[in-house]
Amino acid sequence: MTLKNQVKNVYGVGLNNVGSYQTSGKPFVTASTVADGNEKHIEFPEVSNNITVKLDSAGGTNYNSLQFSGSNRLLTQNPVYSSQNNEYMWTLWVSSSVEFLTSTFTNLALVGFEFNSLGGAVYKSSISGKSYSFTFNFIDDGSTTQAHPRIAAFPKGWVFIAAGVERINSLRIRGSIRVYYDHTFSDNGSITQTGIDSGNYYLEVSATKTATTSMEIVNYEQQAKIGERSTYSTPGEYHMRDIILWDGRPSNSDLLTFYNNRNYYDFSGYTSIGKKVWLNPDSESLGSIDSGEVITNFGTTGGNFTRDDSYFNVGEILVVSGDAPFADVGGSGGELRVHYRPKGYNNVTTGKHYWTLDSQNESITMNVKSKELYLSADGGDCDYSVEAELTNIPSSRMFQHTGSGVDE
Amino acid sequence: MALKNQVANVYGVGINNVGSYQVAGRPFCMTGSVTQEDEITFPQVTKQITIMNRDGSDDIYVYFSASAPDANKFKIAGGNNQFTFNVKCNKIYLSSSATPAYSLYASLTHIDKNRMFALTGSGISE
Repeated sequence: MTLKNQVKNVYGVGLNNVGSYQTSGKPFVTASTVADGNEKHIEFPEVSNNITVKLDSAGGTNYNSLQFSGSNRLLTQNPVYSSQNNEYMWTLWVSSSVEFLTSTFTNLALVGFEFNSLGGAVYKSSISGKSYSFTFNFIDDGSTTQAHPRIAAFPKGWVFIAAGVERINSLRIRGSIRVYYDHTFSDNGSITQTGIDSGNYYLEVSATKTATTSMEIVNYEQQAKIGERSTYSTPGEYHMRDIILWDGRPSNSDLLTFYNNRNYYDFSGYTSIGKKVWLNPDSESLGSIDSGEVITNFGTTGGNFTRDDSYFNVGEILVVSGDAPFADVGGSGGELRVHYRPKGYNNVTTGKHYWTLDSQNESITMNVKSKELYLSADGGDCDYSVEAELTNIPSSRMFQHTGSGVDE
Repeated sequence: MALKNQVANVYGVGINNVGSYQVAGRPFCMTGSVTQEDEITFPQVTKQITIMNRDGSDDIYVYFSASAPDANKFKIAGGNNQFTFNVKCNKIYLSSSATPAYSLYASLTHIDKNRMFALTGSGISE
């Protein structure tokens, strides 16, 4: 019989007994894999003192986008200059809520250069979305007349847009807009210009401008604009990423490579054509873009982007978002979430009451008493290792964790 | 003769004695290469063990029972990764599919290794 059972003033271990946590612990080690979207429940035979969780697998990659609503927009700090009479192209990923593209809104530019002398209604070059359509507006150098090939159909969700101007001959230039989309998405309106290239669906239209003497492709010479020019309180919002103004025209084959079956493509590896502007928000901090905050322009001209305060309205959205178009979000492995209640219990997930491990061999050590732990994977399978230092306190004496920071 | 053997109310170290783990430990260091499965025995009960995998790529698995299944083995990935266990034990096992080099440091108590109970059960051998 142990001494504590023979003598009154000899005490054993206890949940609130300091000494129970001051002796070195008994080891507890477990390792396994939690599949994407699933959860593992780990129970300890005794109450823990310290718990370390390590992500063994390669972590996922976080991809971001810019989220806009209303009239908010970003501007490059300086004008963007093109090479004289050079063909060019815009490419970008965009996703919009349905409401944003209703016919009640006009002049909803996603990207472009304003043609200031003609006011806000005309652009040297822009891509706009309105009336369930995408339109490419372009003019020739010195002209005040737009041409605007318009795709009169709008696949919901993320699409990849390419719009550019090419020279046909000395008297003619042609602008075209092509939209790659995932055919599993539902569509608004009737798709009348459907093409399939290597199994990838796209819509494309073009328009030609003709002159009697000569036709030059426009020089931008304005600040690049990314974002909305609608009136304040316009409902709806949209996301964009990898907004690139190319100093030339990538081929259709290149575009297919960029679209990459709606998976991530690293544009830094494509150097055949220069990038005048490139906004990739992956390295930006998530959250609101404040006045004066710099959003990096990875292109060669125009400088970085900042918020256009003259168009900013409180209550509208201008943030760096964690949403992205790619089917392979999470990369080769997912992020491992550590929590003390099942992920579906109360507000564990919605309240983000978990610790995230998202890079290989990243770990967290928690100095906590607990009889259990939950691990869940998001964005891919996760290999993990858990090491716990256990006290001698039986787990049956441990209370259930709950409340603030756990499940509410 | 030690005082605790002469006087009834003078106590020595013990496996559940808090003070035995609060005094600074006695160092135990070794460097080697994992063969197939290496058992490292400590002369006294540990209070802390740090293992560094010095190999560039091969993983080392650490566990506390010779009969530990894979699920009870803690992986330290290659590439100079290290991990510290704040646990009491008198032996530890290292294994690998290759022969990665490692460094091990342990902080030992004054508790004789023979007073350590056998580690078995959930998280160790099942």
